[in-house]
Amino acid sequence: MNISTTTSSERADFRASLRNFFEDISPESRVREVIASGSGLDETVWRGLATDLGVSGLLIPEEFGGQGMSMAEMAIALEEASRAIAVVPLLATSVLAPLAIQLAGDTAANAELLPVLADGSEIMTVAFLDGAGVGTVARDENGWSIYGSKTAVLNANVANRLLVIATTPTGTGLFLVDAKASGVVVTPQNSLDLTRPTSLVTFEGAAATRIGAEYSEASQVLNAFGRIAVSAEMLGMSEKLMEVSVEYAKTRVQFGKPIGAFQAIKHRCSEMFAHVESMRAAVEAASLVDPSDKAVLHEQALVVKAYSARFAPWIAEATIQVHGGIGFTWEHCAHLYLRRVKTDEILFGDALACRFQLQQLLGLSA
Amino acid sequence: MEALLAELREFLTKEFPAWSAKWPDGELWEAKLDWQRTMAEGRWSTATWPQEFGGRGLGTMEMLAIEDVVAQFGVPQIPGMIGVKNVAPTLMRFGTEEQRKSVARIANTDEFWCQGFSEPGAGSDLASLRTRAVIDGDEFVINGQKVWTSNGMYSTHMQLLARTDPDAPKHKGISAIVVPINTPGLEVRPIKQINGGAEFAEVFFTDVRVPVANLIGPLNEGWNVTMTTLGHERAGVAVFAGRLEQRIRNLIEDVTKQDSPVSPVISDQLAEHYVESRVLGMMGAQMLAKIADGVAPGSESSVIKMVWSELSQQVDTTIMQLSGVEGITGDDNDAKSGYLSARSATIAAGTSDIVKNIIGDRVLGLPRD
Repeated sequence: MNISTTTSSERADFRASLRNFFEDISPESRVREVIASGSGLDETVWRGLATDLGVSGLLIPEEFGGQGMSMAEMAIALEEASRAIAVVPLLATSVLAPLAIQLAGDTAANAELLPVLADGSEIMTVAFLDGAGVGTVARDENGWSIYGSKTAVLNANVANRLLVIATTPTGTGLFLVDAKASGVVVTPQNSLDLTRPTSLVTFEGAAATRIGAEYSEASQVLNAFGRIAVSAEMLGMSEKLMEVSVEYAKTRVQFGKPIGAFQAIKHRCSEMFAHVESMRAAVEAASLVDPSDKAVLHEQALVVKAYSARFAPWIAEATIQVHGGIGFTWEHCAHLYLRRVKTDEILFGDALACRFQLQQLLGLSA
Repeated sequence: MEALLAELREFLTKEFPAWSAKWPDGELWEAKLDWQRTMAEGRWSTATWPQEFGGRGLGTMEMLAIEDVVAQFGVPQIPGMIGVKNVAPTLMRFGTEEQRKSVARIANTDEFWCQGFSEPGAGSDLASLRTRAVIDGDEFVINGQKVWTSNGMYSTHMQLLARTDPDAPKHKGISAIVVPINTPGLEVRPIKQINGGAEFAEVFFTDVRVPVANLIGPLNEGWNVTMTTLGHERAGVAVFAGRLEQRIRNLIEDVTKQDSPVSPVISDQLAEHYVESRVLGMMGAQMLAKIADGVAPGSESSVIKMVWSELSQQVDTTIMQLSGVEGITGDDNDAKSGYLSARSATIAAGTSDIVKNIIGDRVLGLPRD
């Protein structure tokens, strides 16, 4: 949770090396193989990100084996990984998990958990969304036990341990639960996003370790980081979809000319460009905010998410429209992106939900 | 920079109240001209001009900072903006010794300039203009019509774009010519706009004769002569972006102070405007940071112009909606005229449709029709 210390040209170099990495190791054909295998994890990409590129430790301080970087650098990794729709738990394990732990301010937990996240040796995910009609409760029964269920838990099918946000007798807490512990059932869901499977996780008195103390404020900050992170993902995917659409509009000929010569198509592409540039400005600004300024972080995160969640799905849908029938086929990449974009749209609140919170900040709503 | 802005604040703190006291009705034309003279004497309206022309030789960043401070003081815009911002830089760069004498007179309002560009048949496609200037001895003989000439009614001079070579490709056969408005054969008529105002004119040329010496720059190079000076105006859109963000903050603050709460639908609409204006503001700020680093802005100015014009129009539509019945009865005249005026946001300086073509053609490299 640092403020960025890199220059924009260093970040551009970092982006270029990530782009090369994903183009080499995670082309669309490889993504489709991993999807078909049902494993939900591309081990080669994950190892490369952890060991060769140090991406899994970006948000972890150097004393715990990480890179000690900020959201500004992580946003680039998220953009590039999502541009390649890589099948890795980057958001869950390298963004949400280390931030969730550090926000708890628990020295012992930091020392135990951050190093295994930094070197990619363990996969953790954060369970933050309560299952329908069921809260998640932590009870102190000679040690903490968790009851209830969490839904849409990202990458839970491959996670070793789960970080669970649960209601305590006095408020909210963060708890560490072993994914194999008795009382924990991980049920893979029929997820919209094929590149990042979600699970329903139920807890029947699962043994848990509490990390830190009262977590309600920390969970708000975690949400803010989550909004910036999924916005960065949506930016990376939107930019790729715009490029794919423009390329198709240049080459697909109908009525004797490339369809990009028709203004209806040209204007759609220009609007995509305008939204991508807007998202880029907003993601960059939000990822460069000093995270110690909680009010600014909260507002910027709501703004960037409200914008991205509205326009990234529009771009993905418009991509299918520009492509016509071919865009509706399983073989075309558009739906793989649409599925991941729509998932990012919903996580941490869609555009309407973010705007509602902004209304409260602005005094427009009680 | 800080010393410069401190000097400006001191200047405005002294001069603005003095001007306000002198002119109880600041909307009067004479009052506005007087304010322009004050700003010129302080070398503030002309800050980007070279020192030998009475400027301060400042760059874009300083100019934008100056405009910000000026906006904070809420002083009127100078009426001769087109002369100061567009015509004078063109004359300084391309004008003859004689033509350059106009520069100082443009600053102090002795001369008031308009630009004769658009025609009934040449709007978005400006380069297809057909007003002809034919050389006859040592004179140009001009025939044709201009339209949407800003400040045409008040001007003493026009920077005219006319076709001097009808056989050349359309951008190549155009020349820039100085035409005094009182030249015989020239007639200016106001255009009444949908909001009732008349800030524009149509100008008719019937055998208007001006000396060939009035040519600005080389013959048939009028397109380049004019467009090079429009170039550095682009940075201005970044400032527009910041101002629209502030305008929306102010609007929301006003709404929260109302006695009766607005509907949840309108609240959401305002929040949506807020989100878009915040993002637009970030784009503007990043464009300014680029300029400050000495990097020439690229496609950002087109994107910002497109987003700005559509958003600012939507905001005026929302204000009209907030006014409800009072907007249609005219009891809320600001909402009514703001709503009507805002229709021009997506037309002036390149319609949104044309901006989208430009982005598609020049930025994305899509095939032209």
